[in-house]
Amino acid sequence: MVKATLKFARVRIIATCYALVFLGSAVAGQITWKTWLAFIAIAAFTVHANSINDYADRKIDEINLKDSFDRPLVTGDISNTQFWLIHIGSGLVTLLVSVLYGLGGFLITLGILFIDYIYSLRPIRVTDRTLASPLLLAAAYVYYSFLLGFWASSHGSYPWLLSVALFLGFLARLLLKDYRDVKGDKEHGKITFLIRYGSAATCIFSGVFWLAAMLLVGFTTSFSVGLVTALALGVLLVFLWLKELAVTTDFAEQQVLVAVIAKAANFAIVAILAFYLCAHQPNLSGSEVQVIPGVIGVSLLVYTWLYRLSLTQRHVKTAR
Amino acid sequence: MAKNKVNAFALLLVLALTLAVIVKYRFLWPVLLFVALSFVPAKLVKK
Repeated sequence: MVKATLKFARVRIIATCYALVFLGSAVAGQITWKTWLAFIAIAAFTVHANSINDYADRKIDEINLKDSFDRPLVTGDISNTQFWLIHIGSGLVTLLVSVLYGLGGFLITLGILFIDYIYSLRPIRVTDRTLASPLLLAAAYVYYSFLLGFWASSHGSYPWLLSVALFLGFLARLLLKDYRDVKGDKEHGKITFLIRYGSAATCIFSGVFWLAAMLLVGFTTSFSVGLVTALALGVLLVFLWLKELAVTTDFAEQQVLVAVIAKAANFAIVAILAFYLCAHQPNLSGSEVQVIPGVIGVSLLVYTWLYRLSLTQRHVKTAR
Repeated sequence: MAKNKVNAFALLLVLALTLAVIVKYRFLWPVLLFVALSFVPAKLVKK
C-alpha cells in the first residue's frame, strides 16, 4: 500500500510544487520550519488529487498508460478498500498540516481538496473542459504551493504579480501534458486543448504564456540583468522546441520535447529562487545579486540543451 | 552529445554549486537541493 501511495505521489510534480513552496518562502524573506513542513501538505495533497483523478480516469488510462508504472489502479496493485484508505487519509493529512498555516491556510486547503473532486468527478468534471481544465489545474498547483511557502514565513503583502507569472508558466507547461494522452482521450471523448485546436495552436499558446511569464517575472524583479538573461535564454530554447513539437508526429519525439521543456521550466523556477535568496542577503553586492541567478540559470539551461541533444541522438540510433 | 558527457556536465554543475555553497554562499543551499533533485534519474524515481 505504501508503494501505491508513492505511485499516486508523482514525485516530479511534488518536487516542482515544493520548489514553488521554497520560492514563496524566499520571496517572503526566509526559509522556516513551516517551509519544510509544507512538504507533507504538498505530498499529501498530490496523492489526494492524483488518486481521485486516476480513479475517475482509469478507463482512459487502461488505453493510454496500460504499461505505466504510476497507475496502480490500472496495474491492479491495490484493492478498492486500500485505494479509499489512501485517498481519504491523504486528504486528512493535508488538512491537519494546513492548520499550522492559520485559518487562511486551512480554508484554502479545504478549497483545494474540493477542487480535486470537481476537477475529476462528474457532474462537473473540469478535466473534460478544454479551457477550464488547464486553468484550474495551474491555479491549484501554483497558488497553493506558492501561498503555503509565503505564509510559512510571512503574512504580509502577497506578491500577486509574481504568482500570476508562475501561473502563466505552469499553464504553458500544462498545455503540453496532453501529448501523452491523445489516443485514450480521443477514444473517450475527452476534448483537450490539443485535440480541439491541434498541435500548432497548442504550441503557439504555450509559447505566448511562456513569454508573458518571463516578462512578468522580469517586471517583478526590476529586470535584474542576470535573471532576465537566463529566462530569455530559457524562452528562446523553449520556442525552438515548441517549433519542433508543433510539426512532429513522432510520439517518442513529442515526449522528449515535452520532457525537456518541463526541465527548462523547473530550472527557471530554480533561477528565480536563486534571485530571491540573493536579494534578501544584506551582505551581497549588487553585482552578485545580478550575476549569481544568471550564472545558475544559464548553466542549467545549457545542461538542458545538451540533454535534449543526447536524447535526439539516442532516438536516431534507436530508429536506425 | 553522448549521455555520459551530459551526466558529467550535470555532476560538474552540482559540484560547482556545492563548492559555492560551502565556501561563501551558504544561503543558496535550497538551490543546490533542487538542482541535485532534478538530476536524479527518472528510473530511480520510478523505482
